[in-house]
Amino acid sequence: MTAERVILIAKKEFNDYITSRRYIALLLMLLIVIGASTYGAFDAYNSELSDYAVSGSTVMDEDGNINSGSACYRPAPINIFRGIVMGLVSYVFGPLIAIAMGFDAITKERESGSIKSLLSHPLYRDEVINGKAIGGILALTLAVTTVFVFIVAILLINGIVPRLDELPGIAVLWAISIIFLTGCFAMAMMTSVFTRTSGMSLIYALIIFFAFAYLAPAIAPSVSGYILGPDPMAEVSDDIPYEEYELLAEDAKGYYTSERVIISGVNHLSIKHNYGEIGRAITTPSVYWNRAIRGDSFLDYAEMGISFEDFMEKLGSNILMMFIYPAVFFGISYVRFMRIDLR
Amino acid sequence: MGVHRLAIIARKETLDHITSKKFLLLLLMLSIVVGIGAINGINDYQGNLERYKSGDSSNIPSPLSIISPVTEAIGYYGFGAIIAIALGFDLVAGEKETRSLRSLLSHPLYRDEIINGKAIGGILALTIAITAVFTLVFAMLLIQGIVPSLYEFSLMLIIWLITIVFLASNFALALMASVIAGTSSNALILTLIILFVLSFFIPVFGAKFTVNTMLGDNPRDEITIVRYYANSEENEEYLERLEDKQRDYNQKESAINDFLSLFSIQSNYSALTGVFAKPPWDCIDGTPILSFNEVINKVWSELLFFLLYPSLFFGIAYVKFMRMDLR
Repeated sequence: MTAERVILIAKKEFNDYITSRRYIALLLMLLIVIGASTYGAFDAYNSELSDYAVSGSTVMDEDGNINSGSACYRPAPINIFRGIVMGLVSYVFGPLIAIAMGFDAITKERESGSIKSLLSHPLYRDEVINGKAIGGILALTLAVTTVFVFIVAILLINGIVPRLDELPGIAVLWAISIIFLTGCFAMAMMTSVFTRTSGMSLIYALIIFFAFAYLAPAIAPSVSGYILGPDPMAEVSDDIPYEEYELLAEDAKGYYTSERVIISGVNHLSIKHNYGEIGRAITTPSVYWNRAIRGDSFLDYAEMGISFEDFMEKLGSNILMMFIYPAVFFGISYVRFMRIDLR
Repeated sequence: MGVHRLAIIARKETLDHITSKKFLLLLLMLSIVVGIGAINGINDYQGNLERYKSGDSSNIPSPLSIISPVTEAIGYYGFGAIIAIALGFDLVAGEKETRSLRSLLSHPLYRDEIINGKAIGGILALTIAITAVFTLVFAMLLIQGIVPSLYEFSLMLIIWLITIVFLASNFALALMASVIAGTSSNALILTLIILFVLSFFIPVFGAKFTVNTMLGDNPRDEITIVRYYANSEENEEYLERLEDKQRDYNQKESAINDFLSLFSIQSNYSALTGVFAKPPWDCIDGTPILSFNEVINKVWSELLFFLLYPSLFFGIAYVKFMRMDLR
């Protein structure tokens, strides 16, 4: 494998992608989906800001009642970027751009017979598949960058300027969004190597996407129920003695802890869930990091002081899983493509 | 059009569908998803029953609450739409790609027999799939010792019928795309784009846009500020006016949202099944006895749009196929 030929293929693939009508249509779809959810986040930001505007001071009115506002934290411009996460997570239409780019990467060449003429040129198979993957990832990077520029432009038009200390968060979100879409792309590419026709490839890609995205969160409660048995607090009646109740409560505490661990373990299988967790931690830190005491005290995002270690401790496993997805899917498609019988 | 030839094509299509690996895989997936939904539903049901027995709750759970997660898996999570689309998207485009359409049409039969036969065959295959998963759910209920009454059983049959119409709408959509688009992968992309327009662009994006342009800013934020600083008679009056405005705004907003969500096949399906199979937290006093008028009054517009889609999509597919240039 030489870098020169890989780059050549990647460049050609990239140009093919971004000039195709399908890419433009799907990018438009992505912008609409994310635009709509960002509008919701923008709306929430504005109403939180107006709550915040009246909660800065506590005042006493003429009847002696003490009034304080209803805000529990100060909204920050990065909160609006939650719209991007919600748009990609809530509907299949966001990740669809990645799936639609990958599903016919190989099948299209096989259907039209061009793979034979392609491989009769002096290049290796791994250059073909690596070049296709790199070209696709570059096109996805362009799409995600377009979305981010679009959102930032809308924020600037509305007079909201992200602070300097929010830029690293936005950059991480950008990178994680690309990795999420790359995972979907690699999955579609894998089905494209395994099936003979593009249509079937897309159907299988959609099935695998739905299975990975929705099945894990749906079965998580059943799995934990199956392993742990019934909830010990379910059969508590009112007339048991206090000592027994204490023991039961102790049991229940352990039960709920293991339940949480199992559910979060199963949820890690869902690429969508991992992306959503990381996205929420970045874009709504005040809510995410203080889930347990939400609303109890006034939280200022800027002064929360979440360090890099805190972040990795809580989300390290999610980040690792995000990288595992594209690696595994791409690895499978690489091996399969190298060995495929193309006569 | 001869009924005899139509029956031959429909029979061949049904057999092709149900013996294909694709169909079996999709049915397996649907059974797993629906089975998980039913397990969750049964767990909830039995929890609610325990609470009712111990006197903590006065609500008798209805066995129909178990169907609610099942319809959610089929409708909301999109697994039903996928199976219907997978059966429909390459029916015509696939024949065009492999050029078998020409040899098919060189036989002594009419074009309308082909398209009608394909539609009937696909809908029969979907009926078999849905009947299989509903039988699975029913068997799970019986194994758990939950025996629905005759009335509840008939409501389940209605939900079964609605589910078939839901899948038929998605199937007709894919069939239409298959006739319009040249290749099957383009047909699939076109199907997904139409679904996007119907289930996201109009009901979510369109609703936000319409609310914003027609109604202007939500008075909510102004109310927060005015209420906080209100200290004079004049301000109180102004606040009252604003609150009236807010009520009016909310009413209009929900009217716009309700109307635009009629365009989504999936939300109509959820609304229609929701009348019969209520979620567990909504089942007060067992299965509610509904009269026909009550149901129609509640969901007539949803029902209208729900029945409109399959006929519209199939009509377009039919006309397009009859006039298609097949050289």
